[in-house]
Amino acid sequence: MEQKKILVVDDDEIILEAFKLMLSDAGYDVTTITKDGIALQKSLKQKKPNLIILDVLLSGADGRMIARKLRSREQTRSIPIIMVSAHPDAKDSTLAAGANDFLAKPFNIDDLLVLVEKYTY
Amino acid sequence: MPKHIQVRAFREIRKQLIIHTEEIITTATEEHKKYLGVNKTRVGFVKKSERNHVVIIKKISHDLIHAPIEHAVVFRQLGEKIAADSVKDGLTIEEAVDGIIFLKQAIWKVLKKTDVFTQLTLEEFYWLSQTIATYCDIIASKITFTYHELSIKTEEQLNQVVHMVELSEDAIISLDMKGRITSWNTGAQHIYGYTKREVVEKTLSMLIPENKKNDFPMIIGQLKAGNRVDHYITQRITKDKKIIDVSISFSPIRNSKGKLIGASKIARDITENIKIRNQLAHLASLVASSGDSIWSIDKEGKVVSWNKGAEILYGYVGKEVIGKKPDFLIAPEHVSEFYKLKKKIFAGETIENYDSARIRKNGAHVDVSVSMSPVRNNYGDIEGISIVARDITERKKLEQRKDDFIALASHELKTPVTSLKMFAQVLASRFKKEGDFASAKYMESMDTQINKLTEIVNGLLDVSRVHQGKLMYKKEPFAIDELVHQTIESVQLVTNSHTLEVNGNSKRMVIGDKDRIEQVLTNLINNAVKYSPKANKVVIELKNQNGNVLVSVTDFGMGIPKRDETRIFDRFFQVDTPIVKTYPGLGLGLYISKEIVARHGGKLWVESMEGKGSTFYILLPTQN
Repeated sequence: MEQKKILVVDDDEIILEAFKLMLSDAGYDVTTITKDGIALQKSLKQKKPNLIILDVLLSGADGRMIARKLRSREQTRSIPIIMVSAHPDAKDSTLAAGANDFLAKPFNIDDLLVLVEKYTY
Repeated sequence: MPKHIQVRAFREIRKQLIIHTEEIITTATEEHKKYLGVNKTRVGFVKKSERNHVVIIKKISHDLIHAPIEHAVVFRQLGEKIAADSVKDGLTIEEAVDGIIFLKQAIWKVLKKTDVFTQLTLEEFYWLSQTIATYCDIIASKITFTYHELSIKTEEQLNQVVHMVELSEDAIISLDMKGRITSWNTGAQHIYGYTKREVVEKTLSMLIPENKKNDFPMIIGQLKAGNRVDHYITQRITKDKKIIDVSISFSPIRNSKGKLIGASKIARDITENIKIRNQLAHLASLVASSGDSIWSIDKEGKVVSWNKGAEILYGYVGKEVIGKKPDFLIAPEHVSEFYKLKKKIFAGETIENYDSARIRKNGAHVDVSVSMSPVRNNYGDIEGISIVARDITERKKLEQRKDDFIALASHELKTPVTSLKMFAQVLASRFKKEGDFASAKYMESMDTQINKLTEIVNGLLDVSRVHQGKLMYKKEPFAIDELVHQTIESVQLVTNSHTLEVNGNSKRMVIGDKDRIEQVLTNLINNAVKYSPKANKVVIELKNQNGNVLVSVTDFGMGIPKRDETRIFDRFFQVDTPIVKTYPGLGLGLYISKEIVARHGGKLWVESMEGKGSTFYILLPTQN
């Protein structure tokens, strides 16, 4: 079966590494990027993911803005987005920005995998 | 003077008066004619006076003869009688006073003609002469006082006045032109401590303390100039050397020819008033100089006072505000709250340190901490409200900075915690796959510790949010019974030491934030486990109570001392016993829980018995 592709956007490299380790172990093809804008567009062009995991607070950008842009463009509109944040109160605003789901940091691996499976099924 | 000598002297006077009554009358008539006859136009008056003096002297003789032989009583009664008789007989003030002066002279003349003096010792003579002089002066000053000061016209009023003078708490004293005391009422005795005998014929200066010694020449000067002195505030010295504050009024006394013959003096002890006035002045200066804004409103809700602090805080000066309703000083969103509080204060309540907002003259908002209390009059009725407001802009800024810092710090803490947790979980799962269960268990322990760390960080964040009023809540209906069961299950999963027993059900829906209520339940159950290390169960009960749901969590642990039962809900509070100190946590759980329950319109409280255990109750309103 083809590996599901997941794109993770976070500004913390260690967290990205942890995501990569965690999701690779669970059998996913993981791409991580720390920068927004060009890096993200480039990545999206190269390999359209089955799911995007997006942090809310990125240095220099707001994850919710990115989510809105992704939702507004034809080619990325249908990609499910899970937003993560250390601010549990951010949930409503992320859903309003177009995220499919929200997970508060730090989270349990099982909770993440349940969500990932749900949106890549 | 021993009483038996007084008695002897009196007997002598009485005897002589009986023998010489007619002679006194005759002499009086003759003397008086000479005295007043200078002015031919006043003949009619003289005749009337003659008649009256005869009447007076007859009365005196009669009274002296029939009075009990107790000189003070006799003189007082005589004085009152003569004063009353003078008015009744239609005498003018001058006539009455002249009559008395004449009488004194007449008595002396009679006495001189008799051998009374030869029979008396020097001491007895001295006493007698003083007594007669005093007696006549007292009567004269009483009459003078009666007419001059109070314009008394009727006998009834006069009796009242004579009575008043005697019973007056004020010192009522008369002086001659040299400032010698000629009469002295009981009020004077009460205030200065001296009896009449001790002061009569002595100068007023005996009552004047060293620091006010200029009073005496001043009084004599005013007296000689015939001036009145009203409510002169000064000090006097009492018999026991106590300095007292007094308010003094002087009036000149004149005889029929308009000649000054003395003064009446009324002194009031105002030591207490001065003390109270000083205290009031002290308080007033405190209010005036206070950095806090202090103002008050009357019953109609209008501003009646406004201190310097209020000028600084609001930017208005007193005249711009006094007499107006204070609505324009209060931020619009707080006006209705102000009126609600006002109602409470008029009902007798006091409000302390509640945060509100006000508007300055320049339109700027200012955060204040306000205390309001009723202002009562002497009878205890509420006359108005005092409002003390303190500018808390700086405090608010500091709080904001602190809360911002906590929010930032907790976010920053969560980032490394997130990666730690992820790695720990990945490693645990890898160890399991490789069959290294011991290492997997260590990694799981690490994960559990990370969870505890996360809880603490979340707690700090919640507290800063509660404090800022920013704790967010959803409003969704949920089945409370189901939530309680789910919470118990998840806590039981990580609790080996205690069995979590659940009884009853409410079959109710609660509207609110399910996650936040779960947070409260988890906190209470975890506390129950934590604080009952020797027990092996925690009992949770669900009940429907008058349309509300009541959830109780009972432990069988150490319990809470009575004095701590309300304090445990305070921020950063931990039960302060050596045993409990070893339990971890920041003491934020109950503070946050109470806030969450309150935001749902519910109530959280505890009932506890030391050594037996505690029951925490959550009462939540339900959908129906």
